[in-house]
Amino acid sequence: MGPHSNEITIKSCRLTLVIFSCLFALPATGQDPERTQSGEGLILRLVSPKRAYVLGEPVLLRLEIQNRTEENLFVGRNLIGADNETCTVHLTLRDHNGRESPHPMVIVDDGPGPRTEGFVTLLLRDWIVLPAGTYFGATEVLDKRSFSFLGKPGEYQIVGKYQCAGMLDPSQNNPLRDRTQDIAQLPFRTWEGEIRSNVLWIKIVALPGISPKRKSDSR
Amino acid sequence: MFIMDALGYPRAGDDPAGNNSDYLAAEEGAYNKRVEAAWLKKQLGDLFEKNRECADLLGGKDRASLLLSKMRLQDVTEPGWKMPAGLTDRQRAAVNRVRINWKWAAVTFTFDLKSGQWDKTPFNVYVGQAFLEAPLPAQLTVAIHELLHVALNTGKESDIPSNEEIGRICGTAQ
Repeated sequence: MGPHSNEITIKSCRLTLVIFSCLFALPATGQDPERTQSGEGLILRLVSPKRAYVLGEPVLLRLEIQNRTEENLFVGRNLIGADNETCTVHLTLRDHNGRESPHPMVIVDDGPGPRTEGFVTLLLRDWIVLPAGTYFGATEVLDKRSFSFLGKPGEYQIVGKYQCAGMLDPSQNNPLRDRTQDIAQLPFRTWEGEIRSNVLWIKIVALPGISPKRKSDSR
Repeated sequence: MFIMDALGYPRAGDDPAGNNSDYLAAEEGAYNKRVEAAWLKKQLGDLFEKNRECADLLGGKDRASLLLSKMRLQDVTEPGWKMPAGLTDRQRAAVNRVRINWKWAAVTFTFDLKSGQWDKTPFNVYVGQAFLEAPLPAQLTVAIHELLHVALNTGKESDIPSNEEIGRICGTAQ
């Protein structure tokens, strides 16, 4: 190999880095927020700071709930919640063929009998007031443990669904289910229903010559 | 019937005969407000052995035994206990709610998307203070409830028997 071939290799490496830098710098803003489904004035929006991630790199996802009504609302505050939650955001990740990625099931439960804590304690644990015209959110870190498809290169779509059964949800895991009188005293109503988010596309890229981290457990 | 009688254990105040190390370990665990995982699993195993209808909730005795053998009970209050490495954000959030918000238990497991069934790999059940302060019959109800989530691979509470039903069928707390 002569000096020319070395130079070409270095140049092609630089070009690759420039292309990837540009690609990675583009935020995946969740496409058109107007295309998100709004159920009685709430909007769920998924945003990722980047459109492309290196294989093994954690994917950052911001979940935003926006109150587009003109009234203050109680909404469930556990956005990164369990699958049996009264209110939470459920995520689905699919590949470009529409196949759904496996993911772990997560459950949180209460036991038999009513909770003994005071109403305010229980209220503040699971609910938040979202003033009219404002939003709140959480950042969730996704990797191949969250969705196994993220362990291989490809293009993936992520869709969220915010579901809320309300403060009087009869589930035994809802500690407010019997507090009808206390709930009636609250100054704002609780948002109940189901909304879907925008469709967010991300790309997982294997960089040539860079092996993915085996365990991305640096959190 | 009182659950301890059903399981053949002496009532409080009785002499446990001094030979029953499981019993003594459980007593010590209860005194220290900690759970003896092996002992609790044995109670469940005995219960499924003696009460067929209870085991049937989980798909029969064999299925119940398989579930028990794959269940890892984690007492998050145990001194020195650390959050296991490799959990997702959602799993960590769930475990933290057991630790901080006094939720009774959290369970996390994987399943096969094609069959829609639990994939028979080991799974963790995390229990905290609320669970530990509860009497055994209530602990058993909650443990069976967690096993039901796995057995039926569902997060929907309406898809599985309620604690009242579990208590009625299994003779545990309602």
